[in-house]
Amino acid sequence: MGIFPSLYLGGSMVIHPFSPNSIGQKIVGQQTTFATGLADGASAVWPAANDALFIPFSLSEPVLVKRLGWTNGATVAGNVDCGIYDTAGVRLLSTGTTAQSGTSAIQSVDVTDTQLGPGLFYMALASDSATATFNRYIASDVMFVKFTGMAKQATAFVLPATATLATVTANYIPTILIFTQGLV
Amino acid sequence: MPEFPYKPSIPTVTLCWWDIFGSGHVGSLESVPSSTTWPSANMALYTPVWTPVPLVIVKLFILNGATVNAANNIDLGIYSEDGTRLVSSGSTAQGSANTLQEFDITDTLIGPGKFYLAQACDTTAATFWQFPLNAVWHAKAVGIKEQATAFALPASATFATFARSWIPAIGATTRVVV
Repeated sequence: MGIFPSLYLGGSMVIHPFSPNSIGQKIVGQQTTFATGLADGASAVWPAANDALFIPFSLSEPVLVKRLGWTNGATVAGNVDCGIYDTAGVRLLSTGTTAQSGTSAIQSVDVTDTQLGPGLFYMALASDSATATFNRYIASDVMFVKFTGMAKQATAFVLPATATLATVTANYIPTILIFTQGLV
Repeated sequence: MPEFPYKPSIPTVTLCWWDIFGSGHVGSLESVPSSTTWPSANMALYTPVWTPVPLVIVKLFILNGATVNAANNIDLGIYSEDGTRLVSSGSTAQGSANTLQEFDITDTLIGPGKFYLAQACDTTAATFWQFPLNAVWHAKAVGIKEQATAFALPASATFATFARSWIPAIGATTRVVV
């Protein structure tokens, strides 16, 4: 950690899609107001069973990832897998299949402490259930989700060792959480 | 060059003017994007972006509005800060309504530095998704410029003061899949 002022992103203790070093500004910037953007967060069913969603984020300095998590919606079902990929689509770490548990709450899983960065990465979330819900945000239109650099892969549960990214088809931005803290 | 240790942030796959690697919104965030007609036949609009690290841009893209026609033609490109065209798609027929249309370009290394993403259209019959603003100065503060007669995109841009109250949604990507 530098002792001088520095201009970079990536040192946050928690990284999520709305972090400035992820797609946050691209999403908030196309909403009517910040309040509207936040108000759009709601419980909604996962786009399709076994779909995986990939959200880009960047790190300007190394971080030590200790936990991965997501926010469940009002109904939990099936299993979830959460992970991190590099830009070549290589899975760097993941929680493995985890029974979804706890409605309307953060669910997190301890992972092997893993150093990441600097560089560009994807946070990924997959569910094997079409009835599982997550707290998700939406853009004005799915076209603006594409604008962010998000991607998807069908038939990707558990998260594959190598991802094959495809164009997103759903206006659905889950809250994936990358913790550098051991305690949530 | 900063005198303190400097670790540049890295753009996340896509670049657009309302991101932190653009100018961001200025003033209020007035309303959600909507389908709007192109302001003037053969006009080009130049939206600023920047990158602190080198990037290879492989595609440009825009959002078509509710009214499209294959007879409408679009040209997208990237310009240097001084108005030199670095790459462009060339004249391309407008695609489907209310969809993101991709424009494959020659893979082009840009950055670090400031650039413009340019969009030109040869007709006012075309519509695109654009960000309405309450005042022209909001757009001027973003740094967007225009050029009245610039289709196809010229080798050298002649920037003029922007006089619209909305800004088009245009992006660039380092990834083949958009």
